[in-house]
Amino acid sequence: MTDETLDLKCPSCRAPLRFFPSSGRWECDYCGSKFKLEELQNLKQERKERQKQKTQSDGYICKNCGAKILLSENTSATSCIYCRSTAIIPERLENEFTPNSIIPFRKTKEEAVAAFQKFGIRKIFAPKEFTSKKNIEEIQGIYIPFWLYDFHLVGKASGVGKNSASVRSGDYLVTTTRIYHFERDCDIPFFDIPVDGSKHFDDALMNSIEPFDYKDLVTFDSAFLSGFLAERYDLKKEEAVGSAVKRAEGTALGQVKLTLSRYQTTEIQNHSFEPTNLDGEYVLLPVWLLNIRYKGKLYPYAMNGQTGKMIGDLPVLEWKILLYGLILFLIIAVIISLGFILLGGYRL
Amino acid sequence: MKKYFLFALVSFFLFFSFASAKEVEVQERTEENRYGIPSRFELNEKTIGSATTIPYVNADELVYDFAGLYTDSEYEKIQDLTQELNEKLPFRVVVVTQDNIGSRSAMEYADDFYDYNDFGPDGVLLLIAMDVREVYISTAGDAIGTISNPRVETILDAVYSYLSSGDYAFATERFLSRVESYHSSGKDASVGDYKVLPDGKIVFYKKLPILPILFFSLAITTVIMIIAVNSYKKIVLATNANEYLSQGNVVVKNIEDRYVNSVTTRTYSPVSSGSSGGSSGGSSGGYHSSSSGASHGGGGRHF
Repeated sequence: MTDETLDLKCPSCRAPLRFFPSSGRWECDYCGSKFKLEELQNLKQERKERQKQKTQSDGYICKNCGAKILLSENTSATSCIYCRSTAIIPERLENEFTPNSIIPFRKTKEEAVAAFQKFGIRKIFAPKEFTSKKNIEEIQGIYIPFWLYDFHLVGKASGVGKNSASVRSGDYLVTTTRIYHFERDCDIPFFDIPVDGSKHFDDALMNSIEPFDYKDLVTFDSAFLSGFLAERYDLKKEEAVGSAVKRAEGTALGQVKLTLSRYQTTEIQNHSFEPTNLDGEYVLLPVWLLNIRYKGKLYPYAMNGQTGKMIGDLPVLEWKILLYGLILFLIIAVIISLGFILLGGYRL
Repeated sequence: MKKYFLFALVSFFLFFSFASAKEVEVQERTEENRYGIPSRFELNEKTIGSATTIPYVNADELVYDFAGLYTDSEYEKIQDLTQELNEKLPFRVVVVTQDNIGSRSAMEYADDFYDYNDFGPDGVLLLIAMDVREVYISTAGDAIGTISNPRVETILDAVYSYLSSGDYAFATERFLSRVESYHSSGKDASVGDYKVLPDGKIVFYKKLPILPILFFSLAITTVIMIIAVNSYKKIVLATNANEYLSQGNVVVKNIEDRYVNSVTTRTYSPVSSGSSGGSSGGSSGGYHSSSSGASHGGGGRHF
C-alpha cells in the first residue's frame, strides 16, 4: 500500500500534467506534450516499479513542493494549496472505495464560467454584481460520488375510484356516485437511479443537474482526477438506496394511475413497494460547483460537468420586484383602458 | 224678451271669464327672421317646413294656453310659478296646451314646439294635446340629465289622472313642482355620461369602469410576478425517477376493480330565472331625433 499522493508529471519535462475535457487528453502546461490514458497508465506502472517506498507520518506530502497537505476525510483528489499541483490519494481509492466507473469532465472551466455569467443575465430581479467575474473565478470542478441503482420495484397499490353522473329533476340536481375499489400488482424496473453518496453535497442540488448521459461512463482510472477535486462516498450502498426507492415509488404510483383512466376521481390509499434484484454501482460524476455568499446567505450553484446543465437559486431583490411589479401593473391597466376607449367607445 | 237678453249677456260674460282671456301672441315666421328657427339649427326644406306649422311665440311667456284650459286666475298662478322656476333652473320649463296639433304626433308637436321657438337648447316642455287627449313631456339638451326618461314616466304617473278628470291647472302645477324637486335631487345617474353638441344632438358615453380595471390589472400582475419570482427557484428535490424507468418492461396487473356502492345526493339548484339586466350605457334608449336634428327625450300618455 503506497502512502504517496499520485501526482502526474510530464514524462518529458516533469511539469504538472492536467486532464483537459475538451480534448480528452492529458496535456503538459510547459512543454505542450499530450498523452492518452493508456500512455499514462504504462508510465505510471513503470514509475511505481521504479519508486522506493516512502514512509509518511500524518497528512500527505506534496510530491512537487514537499508541503504537508491537510485533507478532509473523504477527499480522494485535491490540489496542493501552495504549488497548485494535483494531489491524488490512492488509499482513498482502494478496495470498496474504488469507483466502478467515471464520467470524465466534458465542460471546461471557461465554459462553466461563461455559463454562469449567462445564467445571471436577463434575470431582472437579481442584483447585478452577483454574476461578477470575481465571484465566478472560484468555481471548482469536483468528481462527486454517486450510487447508481438498478432494481425492480415490486408491490401492491390499492384505493378507491369514483364515477358520478347528474340528472336534473325539476329544481333539483340528482347526482349519483358509483364507488369502486381497485387493486394493482406491480413489477416496475428501474435503471441507474443516481443517488448522491456524500453528505456534504445537497441532494436537491444534485437532483437538479440530472440527467447524466451514462453512455460516457468509462472504467475508472485515477488519472482522470488530475486537475480536479474528488470525494469518496460516506453513505454506504445500503444507506443511500432509500432515496432511490422513494423516487421510484413516485414513478410507480404514476404508472398505477395510468391504469385508472376508467375512473373520474381516484385516491390511492395503500401502497407497499419493495426493491428486488437490487444492484448498486459506485461512480464518480463531474460537477462544477460554486458557492456565493450574498448578504449573509449562501447560494449554491452547480453545472453538470458533462451536459452543461446549470442550476441554482438566484437571490431576489425586493425593491426590484416592487418596481417592476408596479410598472407592469400600470402598463396592463393602461392597455386595458385603451382597449375600452378605442374599441368600446368608452370615455373617462 | 228682457229675460233672454239678460241671459245672453250673462252667458257672454261668463263665457269670457271662464274662457281663456289670455290670447296667445303669435309672431310671423318670415325669411327675415330666419323663420323663427334658432341659429343652432340649419335652414333647409325640412326645418322650414316643420317650423312654419308651429306657432312662433314670445319665448318669455313660457306658458301657452292655446286650448284655453286655464281660467285667468289659474293662468296667472301657473305663469308665476313657471317664471319663478325658470329663474331658478339652468334649463327652460315650458307649458303648452293645444287643441289642434294637426297631423303630427304629440311627441313631434312637443319636440318641434320647443325646437322652433327661442327657448334655448336645454329645456323641458309639457304639452297637453286635447284633440288627441294626450299629454306629452319633451326634454332637450342638458335637461335630459335632470328630467330623464324614467323620471318623465314618474311625472306622467303623477299628473295624468288629474288630466283625465279635467283638473288641468292642478296637473300643470304638479308637473312644475315635480320638475323643481328633480332639479334639487340632481342628475339622474342612470342616464350616464353624455355631451350636448351645439346642433342639439346628444352623444352618450359609456363610463370607463376604472375600479374593475384596476382590480383586474392587479390580479394579473400578481400572478405574473409570482410566476416570474418562482422561476428563480430552480433547485428542486426530485420526487420521481421517471427518466430511469424501463418503459417497455413495466408490469401493472389489474387485480381488482370492484364495485362497492353508490351514493345519491339531491341538491337544490333552481334554473336561473331572468337574464341579468340589459347592457347599460352607450344606449340612445328612448332618446330620438326630432325634425330639427336635435336629440330629445320624453314620454307621453293618453288621458
